[in-house]
Amino acid sequence: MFVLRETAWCRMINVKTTFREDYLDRTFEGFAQYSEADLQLSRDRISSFLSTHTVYELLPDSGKVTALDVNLAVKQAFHVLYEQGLPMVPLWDDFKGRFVGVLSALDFILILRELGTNGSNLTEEELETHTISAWKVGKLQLNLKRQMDGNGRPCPRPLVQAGPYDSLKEVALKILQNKVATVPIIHSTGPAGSCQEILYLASLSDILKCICRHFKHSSSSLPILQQPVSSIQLGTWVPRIGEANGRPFAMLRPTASLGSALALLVQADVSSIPIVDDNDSLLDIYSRSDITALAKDKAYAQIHLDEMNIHQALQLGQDANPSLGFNGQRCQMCLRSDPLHKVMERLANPGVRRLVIVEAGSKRVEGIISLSDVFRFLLGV
Amino acid sequence: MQIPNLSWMQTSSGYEDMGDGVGIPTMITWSHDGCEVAVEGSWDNWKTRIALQRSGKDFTIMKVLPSGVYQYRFLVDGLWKYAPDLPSTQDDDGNVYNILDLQEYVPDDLESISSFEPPQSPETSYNNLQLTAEDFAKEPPLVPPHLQMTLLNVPASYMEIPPPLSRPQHVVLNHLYMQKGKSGPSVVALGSTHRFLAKYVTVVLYKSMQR
Repeated sequence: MFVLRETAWCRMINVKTTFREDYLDRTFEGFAQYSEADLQLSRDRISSFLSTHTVYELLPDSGKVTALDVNLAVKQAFHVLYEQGLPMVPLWDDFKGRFVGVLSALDFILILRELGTNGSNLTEEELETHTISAWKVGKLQLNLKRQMDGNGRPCPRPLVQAGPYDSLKEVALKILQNKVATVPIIHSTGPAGSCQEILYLASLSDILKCICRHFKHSSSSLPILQQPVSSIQLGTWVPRIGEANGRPFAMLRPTASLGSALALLVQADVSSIPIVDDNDSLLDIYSRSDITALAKDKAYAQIHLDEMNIHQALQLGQDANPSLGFNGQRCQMCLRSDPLHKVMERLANPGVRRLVIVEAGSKRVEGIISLSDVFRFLLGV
Repeated sequence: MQIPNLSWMQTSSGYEDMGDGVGIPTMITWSHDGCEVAVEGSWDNWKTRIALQRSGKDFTIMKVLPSGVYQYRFLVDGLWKYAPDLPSTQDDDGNVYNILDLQEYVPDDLESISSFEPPQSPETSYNNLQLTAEDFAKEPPLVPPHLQMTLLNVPASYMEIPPPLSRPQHVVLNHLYMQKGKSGPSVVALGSTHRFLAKYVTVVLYKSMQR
């Protein structure tokens, strides 16, 4: 269970930890409606397809990549991310002559929380001089996913990257195993690969788009794709009363404070939280990448995380990009009866990283399916 | 307390499927013998059979399809055949089909790019003397106008999914562009477009000007 400061409008579904066998059968409906042979055949075909196609195929005809120097100040980095509308950006180190890491929305969430904490070393004025590399060093001191070297000192995580000739399967597994969203594609030439050329930022949605493109017109070769998502073990579902479940499901009201949303994103280790009304009907979704909207008019300088609520935070983003709200891209939904291929086609759209499973009509939230859920299922990991 | 009305959710089309995409014209050709040739394909789930038209020795038909991968085969004088000179695949029952991988763009022909010879530098004397005050008094040479066609000047799109960049002219490749101060007082942006095999990548690096 996650310890969270209780606020009036923050609600987490608490789960009984007593295990009751008679409820186990009802966890996934129609569990035995497909055969193991169908599943294995589909997995084999997908695995074979991914092993024989390379990252080069994902590259667009004419693409653009933005990178930041590690000696750039964090405040300016924040603004570049906001202006360019980027969720993450690779970091270049001139001194080492190579790409050394990435700066993502999670970094900004952590920085903002640091600013808000009393007794923190970081102040708003310092953001103008605090470089990205200094932040990354300081981040190691925070109690977060750090790796220890032989002497028990925290060491920085090496950059997770891939090359243009790597197979799609290798890249998909790399993304899943390292729990990242995007992998920079870097072409290394010269002695010992010392000359690096960045080509693209690849994500699971690119690979999924490639899969859908190839199998859309021969869907009979992947029988498992016809199955409704409720019958296969896919995604995270809101547990029903009395059910035992390993993972609690996080949701928030629009009046919950931004501070509680950020805390939940960090502690629950999720990339987005559905925003619901009193009946658990879906209103919107708050994702990690929404944090960059705070760069608008330097909103982060004036806000106190506990005084701004989620609705206001989302409004900032809406004002900047009025087109976003009306094309339905913000919050893609699906039904529990939708077949897997339909879910995959929706997730293959760039910018869509998750689908919220809702009840038809009432839009009550039933669960979430993310890109990594789909790939873990297809690759059987 | 009233829950604020997040109105942009009401008009969401979450239940509709995304459209198939723009149709791209493509020719299907049978260039082996025959009297009557027709084609069936996975583009409509093998439902219709279309007769090809004869033009000289070949049989052709034009189809407009969204980008994707399709399988098809030919009915030549009553027999099912596949074109051996085109990409093909075999299914579990041993049937062979031709494959059409229809892209949204026509990839560059690598052969024609790689064999490109840049023109020789003009005949004159070259030296590397330092510029003097006299040189600075003159007007600087004009930037060749075709270098204005850099993709870096394409205005930023505020859509969540920006439209794809157009293919750059070869003349702007491998030139370094600089932009000062737009993203902050001491920030400089360096941009350049390169070719990697048949793909083009524009990279922008933001650096701090302070040391």
